[in-house]
Amino acid sequence: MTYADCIRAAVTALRANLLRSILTSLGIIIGISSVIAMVAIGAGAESQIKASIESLGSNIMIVLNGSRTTGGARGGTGSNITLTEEDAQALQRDVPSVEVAAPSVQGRFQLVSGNTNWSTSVLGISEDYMTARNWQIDQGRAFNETEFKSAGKVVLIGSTVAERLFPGEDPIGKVIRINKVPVQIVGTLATKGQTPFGQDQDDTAFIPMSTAKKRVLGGRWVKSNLVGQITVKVRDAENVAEAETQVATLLRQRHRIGEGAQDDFNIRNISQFLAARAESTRVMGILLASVAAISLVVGGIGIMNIMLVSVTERTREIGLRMALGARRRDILTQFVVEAITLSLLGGLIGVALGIGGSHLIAQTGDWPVLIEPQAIGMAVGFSAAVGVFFGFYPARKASKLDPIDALRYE
Amino acid sequence: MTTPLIRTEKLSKTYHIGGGDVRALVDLSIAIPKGEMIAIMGPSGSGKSTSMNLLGCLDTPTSGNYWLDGQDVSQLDSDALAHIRNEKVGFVFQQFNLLARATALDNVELPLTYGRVARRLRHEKAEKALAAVGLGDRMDHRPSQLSGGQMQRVAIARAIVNSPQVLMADEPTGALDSRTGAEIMALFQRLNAEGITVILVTHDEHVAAHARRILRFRDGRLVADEAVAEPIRAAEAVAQMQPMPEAA
Repeated sequence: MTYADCIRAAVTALRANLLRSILTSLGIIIGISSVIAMVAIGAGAESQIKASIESLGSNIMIVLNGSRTTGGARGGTGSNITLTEEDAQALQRDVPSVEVAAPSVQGRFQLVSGNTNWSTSVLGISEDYMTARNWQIDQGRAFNETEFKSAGKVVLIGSTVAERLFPGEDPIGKVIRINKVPVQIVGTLATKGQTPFGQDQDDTAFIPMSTAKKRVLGGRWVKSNLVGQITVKVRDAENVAEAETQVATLLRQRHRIGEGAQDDFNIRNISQFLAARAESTRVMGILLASVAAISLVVGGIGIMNIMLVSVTERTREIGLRMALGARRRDILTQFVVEAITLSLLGGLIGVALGIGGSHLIAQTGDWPVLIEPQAIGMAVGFSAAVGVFFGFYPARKASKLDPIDALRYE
Repeated sequence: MTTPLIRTEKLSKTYHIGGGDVRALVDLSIAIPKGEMIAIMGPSGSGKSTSMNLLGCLDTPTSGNYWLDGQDVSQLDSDALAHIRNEKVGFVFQQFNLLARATALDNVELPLTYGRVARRLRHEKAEKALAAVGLGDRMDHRPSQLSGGQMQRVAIARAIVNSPQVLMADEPTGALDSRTGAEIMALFQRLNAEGITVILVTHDEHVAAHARRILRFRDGRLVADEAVAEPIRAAEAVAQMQPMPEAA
């Protein structure tokens, strides 16, 4: 018997008990569709969180100026600035796990271009800042060394700022004023989107830190070595926690903070928080997929059960086929193919339902789903494997029948 | 004299049931020439079913030898026996044993699928076999749409589709009324006249009387091997019967 004959015979046999075949496949259909949907949901959540982490800059912690005002009214940040450019240099030099320590200053200013204006957060950045936070240039260029050193009157603007100030125009080369200081736009920043906390990261403008201190912020910043914050990029994501301790220790030494006294800085570690969230999402995804996988096994047992019933019901048919010249191998193949057809059909329907369900969840629940092709491949392969595994025993039982007994079976 | 189609020498079959031995067939030595029409008779437990199973290559003997068409088949394994059954033996059963969900044509094609015959050739052969049993116009009918006699004709077509050497019929008229039974017997006689060796297994003297030779069994032994002086001519018997409206 050729495989084509086997498949034709299997389809005929399954159609003979159509309702029973559908009910039997239902276990596999539910199993596969829930595996697909669960994996899609898990992968979607994971990829979203990953994208968030990457947009924040991977392996990042931010050292902020301190909380000596704890207990007092807020807004005293300016008077409590203790972080310096030398702190940043020391962190990069003395803490091995730190790849980059990039100081920056910031303020909120009105950006003016002709008769339009826009208030945004202006960052005075050091040379390594863009690397540390994974900022890319969309159009134009980044700052050069001279501009960093000699307070060049240049600015990089985020896509939101570009849209607000220059809708439908090319902003490159235009001159805008920040706090009355004219600066030329040399480039635009590639869009990053929102932070996981809903903050628009593209509503920003970068100027060299020297420019910020000497020309924009002015006042006591002009000759000071103080900085607003230090962005620290750690070499290895695994080492973020360890690096955080080392950074804190070094800063306490440099700031001469005695034993038991409070830090005069804050270390924020967003990526670690997100990584934990990603991990918990992943664990949840695995749990959901395992539950779904269990239903697949249950579906497989359903197939085995029905195949056993089918073998008993069709004992005479098996005897007849043997009398007509079917070898044991032919009978074995026939029933295994029948079981595979049943489970594979269920698997394919399950894949379709799973994809449809995922899209439905994505639309109605506003939940990110990601259907990975290998998940579909695995689901189909797994359903075929379920057919082979749970179909083999009944098929073997059929092939072991004695033709004489089988023919006489009532 | 040419080699007989079927020759057995001290063919025996012993079953072990509940600790005791049951000697279902003892030292059967027969020769059946090609083109013979033979009836195997005896009450139940006489060894007639066992001998049919052995001669039909459904079972292997405990001892003794069996040559079918010159080949010793007594020690073959189950796959080799399946192959022999497929090519050389056609079976007809009392309960027809048709696949209920398949059309007449598909049922007749079934032995050919196990013989790995190409699809187009299968169709041709099956159509020819159905035409030979007078069912050329019922090829797409399912068993449920056929009368008992028609179902048995489909079964006979299935048995002869692979041009076997021998046709084994186990109580072929047992489930049919006498007129239909006579028609089926007439079909067997016609096929026999066309050259197929026919072995009828029955407990019915009337059915056996259609053969040219009767082997009688009792308690696992062949007790009589007699020629039938004047076999019943089924075709003539049918002609004399009152015509009966046949179910569609």
